[in-house]
Amino acid sequence: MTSFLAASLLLVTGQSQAFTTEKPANKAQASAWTAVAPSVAVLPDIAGNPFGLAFLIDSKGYFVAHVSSLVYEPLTATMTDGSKVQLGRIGYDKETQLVLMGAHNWKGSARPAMRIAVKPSPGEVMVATAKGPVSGLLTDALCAGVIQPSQKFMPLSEVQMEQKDFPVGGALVIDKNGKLAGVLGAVLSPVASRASRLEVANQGTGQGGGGARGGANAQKQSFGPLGLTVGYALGPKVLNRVVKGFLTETHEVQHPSVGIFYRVDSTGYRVVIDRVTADGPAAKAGVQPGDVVLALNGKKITGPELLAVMLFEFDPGDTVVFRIDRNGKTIEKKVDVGVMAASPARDSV
Amino acid sequence: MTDHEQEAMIRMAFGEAEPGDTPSGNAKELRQYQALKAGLRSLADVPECQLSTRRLTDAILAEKVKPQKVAWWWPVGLVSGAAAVVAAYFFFTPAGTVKKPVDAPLASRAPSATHENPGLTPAPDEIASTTGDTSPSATARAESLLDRSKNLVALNDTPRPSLSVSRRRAVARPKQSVPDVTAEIAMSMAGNVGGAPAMSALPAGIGGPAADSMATSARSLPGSDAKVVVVEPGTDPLTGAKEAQEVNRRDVVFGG
Repeated sequence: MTSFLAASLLLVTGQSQAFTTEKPANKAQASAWTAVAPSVAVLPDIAGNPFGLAFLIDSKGYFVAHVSSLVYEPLTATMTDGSKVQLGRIGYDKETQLVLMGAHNWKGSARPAMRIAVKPSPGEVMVATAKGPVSGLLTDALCAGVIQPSQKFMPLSEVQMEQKDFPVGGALVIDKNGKLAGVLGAVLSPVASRASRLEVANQGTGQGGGGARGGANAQKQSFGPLGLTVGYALGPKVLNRVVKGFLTETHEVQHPSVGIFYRVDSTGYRVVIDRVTADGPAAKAGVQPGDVVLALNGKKITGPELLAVMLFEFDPGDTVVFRIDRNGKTIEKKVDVGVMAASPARDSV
Repeated sequence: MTDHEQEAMIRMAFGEAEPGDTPSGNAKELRQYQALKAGLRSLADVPECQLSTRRLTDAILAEKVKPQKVAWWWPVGLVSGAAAVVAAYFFFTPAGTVKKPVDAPLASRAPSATHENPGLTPAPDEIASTTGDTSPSATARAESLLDRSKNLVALNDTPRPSLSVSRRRAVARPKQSVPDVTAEIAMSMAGNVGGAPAMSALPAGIGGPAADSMATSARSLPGSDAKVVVVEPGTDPLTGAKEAQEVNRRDVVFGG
């Protein structure tokens, strides 16, 4: 019996160490990894190798993972202590591409849920991957993101991290306090413009001002012999909204929407309505394609990003006032903020 | 064989012998000229379509330009020389030599005594007398004109910044016509990331402290080339994450 327990312990220990090929770079990262490890499940690929991560959001066994962390489902995930958990999809948020998964026969009620940071400071972070902790840097560059194909706006934080030869999609950005600062939603494509890569290269090495956002898989950066991966993370504000929605009875996330698509016109800063969603709040209020948005709630709109940020921060049910220029005539339209269409649980995965 | 004899042989070889031509060379030379004639006849005209610059380029490239041999010490010497010149410049240039731009307002740019030349500057009453009006008001106007001209002299004599200073100032241009939203976005997003009640604190009405603070923090820089991160449906094969690209905001349609 004793030998059986010892063998089991050895097996569990071996499993727990099998996927953590990466070691913490310093004490701070080690403590951050230790803090989040109990709340993290390692998701396998088809061959059973570690591929992605999911994090626990409550004591009932609800996990959240980015869709790029999933290869197949339902699946058997491995907690960092080696215990197994069966996960199946329950919900999906199309805008953030986060998936809600539920554990069958959950016995880990004592496990702590992942704590989401309130206001992470730019600086060194630990990026938790399926292979273990990776050094990263949370920059102060906050980006206006647009998710394809829905074209919906999403605020993103830029994260620079060591380039690795294993998957990092859906990796968790952990601040020095062991709290979740973001979920890696995307990485800058290697085919991005060379100019952008150079901007980030300068930014990463501190050799120049760099771009406001910059970024790229620029090689030979500040993390040693390996290159630099520039990723974009969904920030705490968005994550809080998603977790809150996932934990409702319907497991649906409510992102605000007024049903407009807009772009900058030839002036470079004026925002013109491109399309209006039929039967959407804006359409019902009388907003039309071709209208130029001058102000929102009295705040002068000086670019599409500003309008996107303002609209994203409202809650469904709020009323906003658009001041628009239509054929040289200034008019105002009151629009009730609605909800983006609910995402089917298995849409576009 | 003289030139005349050679020409005569060529004429014979080409079938153009004249009555006075007599073969003076040997048969071998005659056969060579005849072979040359046959070769020339076999040459066909180059078709027009083949007279292309591409063919010419290919032909030139086929010749291969031989790499120039550069002495092994040349790059080292070039770099060392450049470094020495730069070092010498900084070593021999006093710290105060670089003139700083004068940012003082015009009112403070009163001409110093060194800029005034009494011999060239007429007195106000002299100016007034040239107009034929010697009244006190005319003298006062002349004084005013002189003051303005002195200011102009001071402005023209303002030390011009050196090239390096000019470049730095060019980067830090204070004003542009098109306002930028980058600072506003960053600020509002900072509140967003931190979960602070930035824009969410905005009432459905007008204004709000967050909007005010955003407005006061707005910088005046051109923002028309700002980048937007577009997250595409595809997956990066290297990282397994969704692919993103930075796109000029002019090329992006936002949804919300």
